[in-house]
Amino acid sequence: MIQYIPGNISSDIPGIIVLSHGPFAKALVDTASLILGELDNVAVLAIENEDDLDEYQEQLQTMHRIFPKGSIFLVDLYGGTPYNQLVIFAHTKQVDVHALTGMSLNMLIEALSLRSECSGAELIESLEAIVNVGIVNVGKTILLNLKTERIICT
Amino acid sequence: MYIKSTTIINPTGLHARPAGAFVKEAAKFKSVITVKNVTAISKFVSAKSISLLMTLGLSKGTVIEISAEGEDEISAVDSLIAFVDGGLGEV
Repeated sequence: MIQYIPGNISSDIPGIIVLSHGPFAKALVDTASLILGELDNVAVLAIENEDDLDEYQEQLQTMHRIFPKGSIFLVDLYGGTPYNQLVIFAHTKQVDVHALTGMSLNMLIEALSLRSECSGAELIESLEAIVNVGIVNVGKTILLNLKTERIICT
Repeated sequence: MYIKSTTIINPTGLHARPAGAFVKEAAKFKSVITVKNVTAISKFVSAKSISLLMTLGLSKGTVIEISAEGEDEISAVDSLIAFVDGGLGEV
């Protein structure tokens, strides 16, 4: 299991808890810190082969407890083990969990930026609305524009 | 509402790191802050979103317009203009 808290924890801003299989979440957080600098109120909880699910569940609950209200979870894969454990946590403990799957660098840096404006369900909805902006079919947009320009020029 | 314009001077434009620095600076203010690529006649996008800022294609020499509306609109725009003119920590 990979547990990683790169900065400080405070009650001032919503926390972002990043869940993944393997080293993906830690690498994303480290990469985001290259862009945004030191990251406070961020945590990684990643599951690895042979990890005990009860222990993972326990750590998930600890992460949820140590961060302020309005904190969110970003999850790598809908239907994967970290997602399933989060759903089990929400059901068994009857807690409101604010989470979004399909995590990407774009999603994480947006979450880190937008959490100064909103938190919890509102932050998740804002992320849901904005992350697709970063998904571009380059061949159909930029390269097509270049091709069009070339045709116009000749 | 308070609006000012300036020109991007960073050699590589507003790529991820300077965009991140810009967004962090914008997050210090309560006003609604937006940015527009004047050179390419874009729409205004939120100054607090890296994804949206990066869609503006702000390369070196691009003229941008920064606008803010709210209780700290003047200090928000002036601070961000100064930040851009200072090279966003890169120049």
